[in-house]
Amino acid sequence: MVLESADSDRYEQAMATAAWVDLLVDPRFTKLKNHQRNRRFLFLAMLTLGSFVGAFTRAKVNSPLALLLCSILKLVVTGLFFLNPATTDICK
Amino acid sequence: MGARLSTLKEHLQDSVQDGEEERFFVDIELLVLSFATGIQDAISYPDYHCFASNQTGNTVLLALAAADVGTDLFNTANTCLSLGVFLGGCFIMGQIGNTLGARKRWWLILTNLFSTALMFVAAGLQYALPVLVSGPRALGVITLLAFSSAAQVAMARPLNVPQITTVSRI
Repeated sequence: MVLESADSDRYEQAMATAAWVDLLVDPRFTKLKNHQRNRRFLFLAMLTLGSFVGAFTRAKVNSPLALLLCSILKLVVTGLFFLNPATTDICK
Repeated sequence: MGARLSTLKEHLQDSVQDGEEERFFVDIELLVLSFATGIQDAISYPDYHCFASNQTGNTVLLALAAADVGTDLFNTANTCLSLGVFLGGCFIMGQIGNTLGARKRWWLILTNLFSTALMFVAAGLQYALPVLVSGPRALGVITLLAFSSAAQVAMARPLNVPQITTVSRI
């Protein structure tokens, strides 16, 4: 599959490799305001950071603690969904 | 009390704004889930010699297994199970979401709670019993982790933030 363009949301590949590529070839890479670039960068940063945290937690303590941490984070996200703004009635 | 329950019910019935309409909560939620995925895959490979959510990795391992190359570096049964459960989970959870309303607040909460519960059970199993690379216990934990990942991805996609898929490769 091929990207239509780095700006396109609709034809984007859903892979971390593509996220790296899209981040680096983005024609608006250097623009101050570029939410798509920021999203890609933060996604890759969080995935990488999470991998390091998981690896070091397993190395220094054990795997169950890493999975427990993972579960707690997912539980926090579950709670956050109570706060998301709703679509307007027209949008529904 | 009745009015509050009614308000809560309405709140849960709402469809939440997607990533094009809203940029704060959706982004934070998906980024935290991405962080959690990183943790999960960092332990699944050394523990079970397969990935729980990185299914491109598992597909490559499957091809290597078919060619009988480097099979001492990964576990073929675990890899096949993870891939199968992930794909099945995506289909099941995705289609249920499509039917019930993939951006309904109650569905997002329920499906994420379900995914979290599977992860807690996996953590509990690992804590209570020694971690083995292969065998029924390993297959059980992989099933829990892969289905949890699938439910997470199927939940995240309708939020329409293609830049943050929450998993490393799908």
